[in-house]
Amino acid sequence: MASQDCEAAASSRAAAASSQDCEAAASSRAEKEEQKTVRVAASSRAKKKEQKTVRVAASSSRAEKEEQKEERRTVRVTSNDGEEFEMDEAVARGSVMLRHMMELGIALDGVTLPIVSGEILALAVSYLRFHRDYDDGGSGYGYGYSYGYHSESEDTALTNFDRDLVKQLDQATLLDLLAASNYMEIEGLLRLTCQTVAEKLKGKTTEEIRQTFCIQNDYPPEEEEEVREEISWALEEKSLD
Amino acid sequence: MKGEIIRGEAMAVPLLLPLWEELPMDVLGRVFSFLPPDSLARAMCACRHWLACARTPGPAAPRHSPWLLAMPARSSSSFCYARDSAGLGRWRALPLDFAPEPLRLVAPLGGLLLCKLASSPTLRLALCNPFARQFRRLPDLLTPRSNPAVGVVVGSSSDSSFRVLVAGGSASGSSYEATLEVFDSREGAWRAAGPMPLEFAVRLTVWTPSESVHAGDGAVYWMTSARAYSVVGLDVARRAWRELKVPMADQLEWAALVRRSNGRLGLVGGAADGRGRVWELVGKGEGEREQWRLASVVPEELLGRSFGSTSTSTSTARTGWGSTRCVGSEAGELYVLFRELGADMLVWREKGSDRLSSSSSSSSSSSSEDCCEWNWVEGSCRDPHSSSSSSIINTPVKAVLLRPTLMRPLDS
Repeated sequence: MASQDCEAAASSRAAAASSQDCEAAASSRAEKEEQKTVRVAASSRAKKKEQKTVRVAASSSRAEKEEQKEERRTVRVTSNDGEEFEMDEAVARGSVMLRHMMELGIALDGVTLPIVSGEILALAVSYLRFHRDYDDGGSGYGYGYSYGYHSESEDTALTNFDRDLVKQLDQATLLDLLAASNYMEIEGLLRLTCQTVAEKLKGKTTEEIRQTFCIQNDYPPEEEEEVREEISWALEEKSLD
Repeated sequence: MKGEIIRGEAMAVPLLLPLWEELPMDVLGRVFSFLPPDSLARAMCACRHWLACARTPGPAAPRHSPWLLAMPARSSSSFCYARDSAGLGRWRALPLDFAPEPLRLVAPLGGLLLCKLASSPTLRLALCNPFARQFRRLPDLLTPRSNPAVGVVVGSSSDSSFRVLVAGGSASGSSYEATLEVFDSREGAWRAAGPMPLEFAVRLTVWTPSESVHAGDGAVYWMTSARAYSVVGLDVARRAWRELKVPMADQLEWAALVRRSNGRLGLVGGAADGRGRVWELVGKGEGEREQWRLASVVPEELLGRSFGSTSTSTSTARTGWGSTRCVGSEAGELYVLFRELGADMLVWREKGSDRLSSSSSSSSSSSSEDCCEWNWVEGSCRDPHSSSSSSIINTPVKAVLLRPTLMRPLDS
């Protein structure tokens, strides 16, 4: 009886998971549909406005058109393994690299990032999306630097999100995310990943560092001995006695 | 080259993400900026690329807490002792054998130490960094003198320039050298900076330890301890000297000048009533009367164990101040009260000083209690069975707060 329950539970969990996937897929499809209809609505609205404002001064109608053009523009970013992510342009501006590409007009057909995998890009995009809601863009400090402007509850939400984002990452993923945030020039994420790596380095011996981060020791033995002597004060917990 | 990220209009990209030992130096430097010096020291042993990066001036300012570094005050030692002010970890002994002569500590200077040669009767200065085993003599003074006051002015964080001021001192015979000399690191030489009032030369020679504070108003201040404490200040640009009274001067058992994080001059003192206090000099140049404002008091619960006493204690729990000294960090976010090396320490820390956006709006009238905190730091454990009971633990020391660096600026 018990094992039957386990199996039932397992299969219902699996079904839930797959239906979750399906739901997720469905909802993202729905999102895309929504974005399309909004875009369509916006352009038809623009047409109607054009007809209405024949008598209005040329400059104000131009301004209105500019406004509508800025609504709901998105950019599509693709990873090196073909995963696509569609973001609002405002969200994408959190990556200085993407921002420059958009400003140069070379992002209109989407951007492919040849060194960023889907797994990593997903993390980066979720960071950008979450921080877009809380940070003010264009402050000059970039995303992730505006902590001073938030209420305390918003601040906690930001820190919790950041902490959860990096909490489970193994060192290889962390490295990839760090390199990707550097490549994509996402300031706040770069800072977060650098700080996380530093936390993982603190307190470890040199050998532990090499093992954790799979670093090859390329010191010739005499050189290594020299360096170890120079920092002998840091190598053991020596008490004063 | 694999791992190198090139940017530009052509958007040339690498084929692979870098491995840890290939990370570009600016990124790795950023990781390292979060590491305290002992962790960084162990990390740079991991591979040669990491060593090179740890030794290169990085783009990011160091974010670890300052370390307390101590040297015996009156005897020579082949070691100096350093401890993370956050209180984690123990004292570490750093060998001084890289220095050709025995040294005495004078002042912190960026991540370096300004020291004087212990064996010289007249003042001879040197720079050293025990964390990177570097030493360099400064040129001799223009006018040799003994026991002058020494002041340090550090340049802005963008450049590593500094100035050393030497004032007063006794010349040959028993006369006082009532002149000022300035060493500018950009020129690498001393310059005579004119005469000074004899009265100040006397005070600065006889009654001044060499700690000085360079405040945001462009003046360097020394504490003189002639019977009652008072402060001597030098406006560096105008070469103008003045004397300042000290709050509760006749009741202070010990006092030290510190720099506040807002640039103002601060004073930390222990009074005969057993309470420790922090004052701040306000009003100068702000259109008000210049005065000392009480900024913080050591909380009751931290007193009495090793420092001062509690006012409500009726038992004989009064320890007194003994040999309490206080040092402040260069940026003013940290003060440490300590006695001997092995003893407990009291640490005052400005809240938020370890976060990025710490310099946000604190108006001149705030600086209230909830922006700072006092903490207790355990002294190092003494092994009761150790026969030597290391004499260093009870030796009087001189200590400073600094942010150690593993870079090698003295190499050239």
